[in-house]
Amino acid sequence: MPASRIYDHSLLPHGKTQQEVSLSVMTLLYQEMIQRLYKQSDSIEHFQSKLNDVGYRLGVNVLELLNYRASVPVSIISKAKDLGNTMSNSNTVITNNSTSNAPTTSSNASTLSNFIDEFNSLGKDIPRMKRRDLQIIDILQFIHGTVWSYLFGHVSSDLVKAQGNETEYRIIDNEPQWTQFISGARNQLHYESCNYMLCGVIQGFLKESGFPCDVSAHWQPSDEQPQRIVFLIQFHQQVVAREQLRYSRA
Amino acid sequence: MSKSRSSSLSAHAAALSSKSTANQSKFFKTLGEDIWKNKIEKINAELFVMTYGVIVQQLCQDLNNDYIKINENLFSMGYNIGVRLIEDFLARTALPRCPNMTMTSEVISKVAFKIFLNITPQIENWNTNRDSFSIILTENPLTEFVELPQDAMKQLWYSNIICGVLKGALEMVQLDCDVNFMTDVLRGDLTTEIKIKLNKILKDEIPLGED
Amino acid sequence: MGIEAILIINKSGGLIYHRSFTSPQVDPSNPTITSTTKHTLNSNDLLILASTLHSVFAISSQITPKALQLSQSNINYTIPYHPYVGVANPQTTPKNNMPTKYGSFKGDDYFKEPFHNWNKSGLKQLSTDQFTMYIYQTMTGLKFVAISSSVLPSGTGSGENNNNAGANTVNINGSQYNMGSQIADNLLRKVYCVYSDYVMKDPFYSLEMPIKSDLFDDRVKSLIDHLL
Repeated sequence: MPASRIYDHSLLPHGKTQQEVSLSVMTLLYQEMIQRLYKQSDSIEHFQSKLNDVGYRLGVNVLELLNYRASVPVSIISKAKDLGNTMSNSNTVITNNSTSNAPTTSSNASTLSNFIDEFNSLGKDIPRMKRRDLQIIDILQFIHGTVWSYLFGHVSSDLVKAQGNETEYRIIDNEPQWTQFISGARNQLHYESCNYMLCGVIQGFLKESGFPCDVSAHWQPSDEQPQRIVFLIQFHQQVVAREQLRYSRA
Repeated sequence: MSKSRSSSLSAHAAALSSKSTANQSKFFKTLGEDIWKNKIEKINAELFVMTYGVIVQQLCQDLNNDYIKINENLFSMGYNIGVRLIEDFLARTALPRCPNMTMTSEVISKVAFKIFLNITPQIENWNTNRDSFSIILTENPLTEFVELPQDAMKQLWYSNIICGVLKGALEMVQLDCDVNFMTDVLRGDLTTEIKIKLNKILKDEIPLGED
Repeated sequence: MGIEAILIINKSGGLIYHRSFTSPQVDPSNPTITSTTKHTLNSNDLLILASTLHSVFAISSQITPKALQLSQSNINYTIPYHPYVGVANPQTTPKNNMPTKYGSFKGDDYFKEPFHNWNKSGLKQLSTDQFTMYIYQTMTGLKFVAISSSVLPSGTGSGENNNNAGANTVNINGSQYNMGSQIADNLLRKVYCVYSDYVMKDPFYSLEMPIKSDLFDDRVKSLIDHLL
């Protein structure tokens, strides 16, 4: 069996055209997952925590992926991007790692394979991993900007600090992608609960970065934005205490 | 503008009556690409892949790595999705009923796979009755980032949800089919192959008014 | 074309959706408008109406004379596309009022090409001197029904929705379908598109059961509002 290239291959940027699938398959998969978890739950809180768990796993994966990608040196990225662009221009596709011995592997794909082989392992060429964010506002900005853009193709609608409460922040999404076809007015609690997947993603991302917190979803519609969801992030006291010790200059 | 409309109008009608498989094939290829490009809202494929990944992970945990049961669960999830997805597909394409499985296979590969997953798998391995064929997934977006542990490689059909989707969707247009994986590169095979076999056309369930 | 009501009937003949657009409850701001459907149907009447339509639809398909079926084998069941039926027309709408997408449907209209009509021998249209009813049936057996207050002369292109491109498409297809029927098919296919998003992608919807989603309601109403 050939040595696995999966860790390198998928971590390289894909050139100018990001791989896409239809919104329909995503929302259909999402609604099926919701139905199953809902049936398996004996209370709405139970359902929320189950969905949160799934999101948490996703959040951890996204954290690792984005950090890893951000750590790949620019020289390697630009070289891979050139190859990626040649490939998307000629309409060929990167085949999966273990298909390298399949007859369908295109010449361009093998160029990328050679390129990766040349480096043997991408890990060796990363002098050091991206430093993680240490301050609340930095990591929240990262979620509001980079994470949201990665997941949904745009930054979140807003990031707000609660007034008079050091531990609370809000991330706002005017048009939640995964729950856009689910009615909020019919059953507010159901609708809010369906958004706990993303609560889990945020929580997983923050907790694994050293910012333990609780995240909940709240439906706050406006006339233009009937689906508007506010994600309330409540950091545990220790996070705020740590930050004050380290950064405040009294 | 009106010229292109009239030509696509006749193209549409011609494709329905065309006896030439090559013409049909070309028509569906263009149709699928056109819909994908112009009429489909798209999302980051990696997000979709990772979401599917955590769903499988969760199943493995809930079912104690009983891969046979996991396969069944993925299939039934797919079935439930398929019976809903077919309405999206039909509303979007408004394609006529296929007179035979040859055309059905073309529509599945060049239109359905294209507009949902942005891939166009190959159709091969027809039997002599032409009611059974294979879909060869030369690329499978679900398996990006995926490598199976040794024990799972023997039993798990990681992408089994796709079989369920096909089963459910085909049943809603009155085609009772068996759909299952034959091989998967994740299990060390050279190809990823899904076999579709038509059992029977559910004639009694075809809506009246269609003939 | 004024639409009085939209109905959806499942494949077994059960009414799963009904919405009336001109009854006083819908428009409380203007109490002088009284319902144009003279008698308001109660929910029981509606259920009976749905199952009767379902039966008549089927019967009409069965009474088509054999000889006629054979001689008409070359009928073209393609419906021409009428631009922007039920959606904002980009030529007459200010740019900042234009939606960039309709649910999972990208672009300024749900579809832009002529399409196949699955309903070949079933009841398509039912009219009195007061109203016209149009039926669109999907390959999965769903029926989308529109009740219109307009009484359109058949075979002519003189509907209210007389935008330039629409007139063109009638010529292409000859007089086989009348204008009202074509517009109704365009509209009802869009209701089907909205159904595929706001009903099929709703985890709290059970198949074949009544539709209760205000999002679906809003989108259907938006289609009807844009017709005028």
